[in-house]
Amino acid sequence: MVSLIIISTISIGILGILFGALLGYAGNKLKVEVDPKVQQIEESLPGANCGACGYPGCSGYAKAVAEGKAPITLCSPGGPETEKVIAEIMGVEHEEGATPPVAHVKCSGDNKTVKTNANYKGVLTCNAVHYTTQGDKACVYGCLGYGDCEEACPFDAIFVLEDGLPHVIEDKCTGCGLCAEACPRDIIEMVPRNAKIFVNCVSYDFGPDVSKVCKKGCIGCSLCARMTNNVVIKMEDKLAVVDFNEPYEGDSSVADKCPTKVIEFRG
Amino acid sequence: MELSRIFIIIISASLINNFVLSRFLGLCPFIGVSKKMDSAIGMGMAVTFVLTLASIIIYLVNKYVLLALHVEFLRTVTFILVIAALVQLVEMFIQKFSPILYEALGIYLPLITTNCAVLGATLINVSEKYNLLESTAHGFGAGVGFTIALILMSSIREKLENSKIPESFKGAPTAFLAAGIISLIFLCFKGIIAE
Repeated sequence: MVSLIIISTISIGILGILFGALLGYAGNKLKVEVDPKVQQIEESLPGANCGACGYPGCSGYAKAVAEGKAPITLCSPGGPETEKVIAEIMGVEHEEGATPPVAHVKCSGDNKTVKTNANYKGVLTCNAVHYTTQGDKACVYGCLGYGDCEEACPFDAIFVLEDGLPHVIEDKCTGCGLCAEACPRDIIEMVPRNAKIFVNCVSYDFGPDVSKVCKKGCIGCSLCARMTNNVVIKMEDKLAVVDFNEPYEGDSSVADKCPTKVIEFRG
Repeated sequence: MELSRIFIIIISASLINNFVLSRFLGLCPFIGVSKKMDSAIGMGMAVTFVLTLASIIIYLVNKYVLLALHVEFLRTVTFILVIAALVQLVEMFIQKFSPILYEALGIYLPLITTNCAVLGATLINVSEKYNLLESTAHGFGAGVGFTIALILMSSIREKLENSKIPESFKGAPTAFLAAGIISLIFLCFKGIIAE
């Protein structure tokens, strides 16, 4: 009886040790080399998986960078700091890149300024509203206010508040541009962080038509364009558009003179 | 004569005594991995591979260790040990030499460690006193049967995804019902071979 216990213990033990040794040996022998850079880069990325780089998630981007298939500058949420870290890991020169842009909402049509001409009851997303009934607001260019941008933002940096307009928290905004993509009416634009002047309207309608639906819309008077010599603000058809590549050196007079106060100046 | 016996063993293991549908072994992956055809095929392949290999090795272990030392009562423990080690080894091997296959099999490969169909097949090998060739054939047949069951089930479940089902029957209940009906159908194979 005792010998049986001993034999079974020993045989199982030897089998176990044998398999263990075999696995250990095989584990060493068959080790798959994983590029350590991939993991390092992935750790340095913000991990929001926002997809702003164009790759499926941060790990996809890390892999592409490590293989040299992608430039190190694509991660806009991470910004310059991430770039620096990746440059160190990859051993390439890091150029001081520009600060990431920030989202800006080009619409002033909140609940008080824009007229409503219907009572919308349906799917409560901007996309659904835009492609079906045009929603309850009278302006067909302006913000619908159902928060597709809020939904798209991985960083909780944009919120549709009670006034019916999305507001960007600039400190949180990483400039990934997902909200701009999500907006069916292309109201959100990615602008430089140091931009000073904005035209908060995207309506291409004639002045009287704009005034009919919204108190704060661009009526196309072109006063602002004339004041900036058609450089910073240009007229695109009947809408004033800011060219963010041109630095604005003036003061708030342009914003003050705007008859519908649709121009915003940040000092 | 030998060849026909091998053939009968394969047919018997895959259809007549189908491991999932007649012996009710390996039901966990049968329900868990049968939602999509692709993964069902991958899992089936992996199980077939491991079953065949495990049948060979366990035959040797059984004959030259357990029977030689007269410690047959250690069968279950030893077999589990062998299967677990084998699956690990196979996993390493595939990862090294075929990363594509490794990614295709994904999580299913380590899952086979705890698949009772593998243990069941090897235990049946021993109790039926199959020789090495017969054991291999039986293991392979069992794997093929498992694959057939998974593919059948996944094709049905893919169809079920798009059909109107009462709320309370959605998901697992319909899957169980379908499994029961396929199992009933497989009973019809019982008359094929007159023992």
